[in-house]
Amino acid sequence: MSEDRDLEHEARIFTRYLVGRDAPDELVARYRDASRVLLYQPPDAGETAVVEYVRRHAWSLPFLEAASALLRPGSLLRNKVLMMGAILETSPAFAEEFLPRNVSLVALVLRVLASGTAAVVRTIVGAPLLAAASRSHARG
Amino acid sequence: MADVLVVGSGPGGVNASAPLVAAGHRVTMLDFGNQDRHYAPLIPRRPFQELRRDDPTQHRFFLGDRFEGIPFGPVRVGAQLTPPRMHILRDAIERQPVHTDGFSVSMSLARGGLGAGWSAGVFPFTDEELAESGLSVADLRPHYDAVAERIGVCGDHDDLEGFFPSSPSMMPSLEIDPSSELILERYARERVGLNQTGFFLGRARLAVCTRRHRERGPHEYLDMDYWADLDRSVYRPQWTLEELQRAPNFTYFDRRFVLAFREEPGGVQVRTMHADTGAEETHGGAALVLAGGTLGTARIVLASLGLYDRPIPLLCNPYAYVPTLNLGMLRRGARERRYSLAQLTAILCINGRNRIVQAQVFSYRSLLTFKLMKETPLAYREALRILRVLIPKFAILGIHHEDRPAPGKHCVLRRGEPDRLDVTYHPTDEEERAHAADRRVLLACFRRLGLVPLRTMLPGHGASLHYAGTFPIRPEGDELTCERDGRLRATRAVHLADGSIFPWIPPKGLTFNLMANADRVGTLLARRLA
Repeated sequence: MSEDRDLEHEARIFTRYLVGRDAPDELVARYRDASRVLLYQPPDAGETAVVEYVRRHAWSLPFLEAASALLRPGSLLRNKVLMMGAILETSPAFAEEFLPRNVSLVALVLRVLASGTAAVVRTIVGAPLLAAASRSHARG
Repeated sequence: MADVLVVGSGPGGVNASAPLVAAGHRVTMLDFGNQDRHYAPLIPRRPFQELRRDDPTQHRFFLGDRFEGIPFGPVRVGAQLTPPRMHILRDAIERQPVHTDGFSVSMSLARGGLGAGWSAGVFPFTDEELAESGLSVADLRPHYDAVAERIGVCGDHDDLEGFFPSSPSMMPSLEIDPSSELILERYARERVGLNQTGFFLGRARLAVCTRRHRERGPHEYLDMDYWADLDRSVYRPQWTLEELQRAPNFTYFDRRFVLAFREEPGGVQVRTMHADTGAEETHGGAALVLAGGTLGTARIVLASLGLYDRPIPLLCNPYAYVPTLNLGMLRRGARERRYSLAQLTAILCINGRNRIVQAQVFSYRSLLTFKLMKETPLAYREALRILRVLIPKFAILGIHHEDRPAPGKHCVLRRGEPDRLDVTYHPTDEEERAHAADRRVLLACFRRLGLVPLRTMLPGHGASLHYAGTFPIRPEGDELTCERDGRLRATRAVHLADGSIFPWIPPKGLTFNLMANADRVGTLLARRLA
């Protein structure tokens, strides 16, 4: 039951992170099911610690995920966020957030610059935080 | 007892059967015949964008009920095999074990074989490309035309005509998307210089019906080509199988796994195992056509002749893909009406026409955004924000190189329960250097058309799925080569009608050529049996 609650909590954190809204219960349940099917292998302790850290401190997710993208692209945290992204993308309530958009050239350049800059800043902040979060399991 | 036994319902099997059945011979097809009965009924006949916005069950076929459409880790071979297409590979590796040193093997026991997921590119060979087999375009032309009529081919009369001879039954091209329209416009302006470099561009020639043909199509631009065959406009061998099943002289046995053949006076006996009961059966025929796919046929031939531990050649077109940014699209928007298959085809001639490289241009729209997010080095939230505005500006190049036999490319059957095929595939350093150099020239040409390459992705050996060359047709050769009529020299009445018979493979995609050759093999056999 505790594991179920952890997965449900993760699903809600990841949804707010990706699309800025709350996940309906149906999608939270789908995330829980997908986790059981796809992430059944016992994970590395350091990677589990990062996910636990995110569950305790949701504010850290943008930083830890940005740092993981560069330093640990196939990590447990990345796989979990990707899985939630796939579930949201294939739900009518959230599909629009994933569908390609036609925007003006100015809007495109601004969007790329803003998102690119945000990604770089979060990666820089996230790298030491990732190291600390990975070690947090050792400290309990 | 049949006149002819045909093994496999893929592109080779059905197209070898068609002329035999038309000539009145009794044909029995032996096939494993896996089908997707799970996802196909769930997919509504509606455009991709519409489905995405309001179908509450879309996750079932886009992600799969076991979430098999969510890939973790690096890019895999067959990434375009979506959950509704995954049945194509089901059971194959368990029934036909393969050991490789990194070479990707995709085999099929599906109805339609690997052709059930074919990307439908039609690239007939030229005289130069057929010469090593002792064949010519004149030998194959009636069969190219017969197959083009049977499957439905669309295309244009453009700069590619010199490389891909056209067919009298060719239908008009599909409507390309704005990104490809721009590329073609730029090509028209740069054409003289690019042609002098050896670069030629035109609309993709595809096995797609753009008008109603044989109860199929026309293509409805639903953009669901990687997920389902909703309008049946894209050719699948199953369509020909359905036509064959209406003939009284054609018998189809599915759920049969072919173990081996044995020649006897007056014919060939084929031993099969029932997929569900495990019961062994024997089927007899005056002649046998093997079209179980290159690797499947290799296993059957080597086991039947007892040639364990004997290496035979193996070929597979090296493949790379390159996402590019189409700068011309920065000021243009995409259209919702579109299709997912190749939009354009480019040919680059190296040293005159001594060697060619082929590229197909795709747009990335219908394979879901999260799969691209995974490939970026950015946090997923930022990746999503950037990709949403950039995806309409992407053009993806799929690049094929030729492949020729070399000592490091072979397969061997090892005895066991079941037997195991060991595949070794190591191109020479010289080949790999040539491929990299050819890609650089090709990408330089695409840069002149406004495409900025972002990254060259090498999914690994075997990625093209164009397996070939195990028992080549040659004017002269040993027992494990074929005569002009496709008969394996070690046998009296066993003919091969799949990729096995090509002595080398140009970078063009084999499927249409193996279908034309299968039609030729079937036609010649029909005459011999008459």
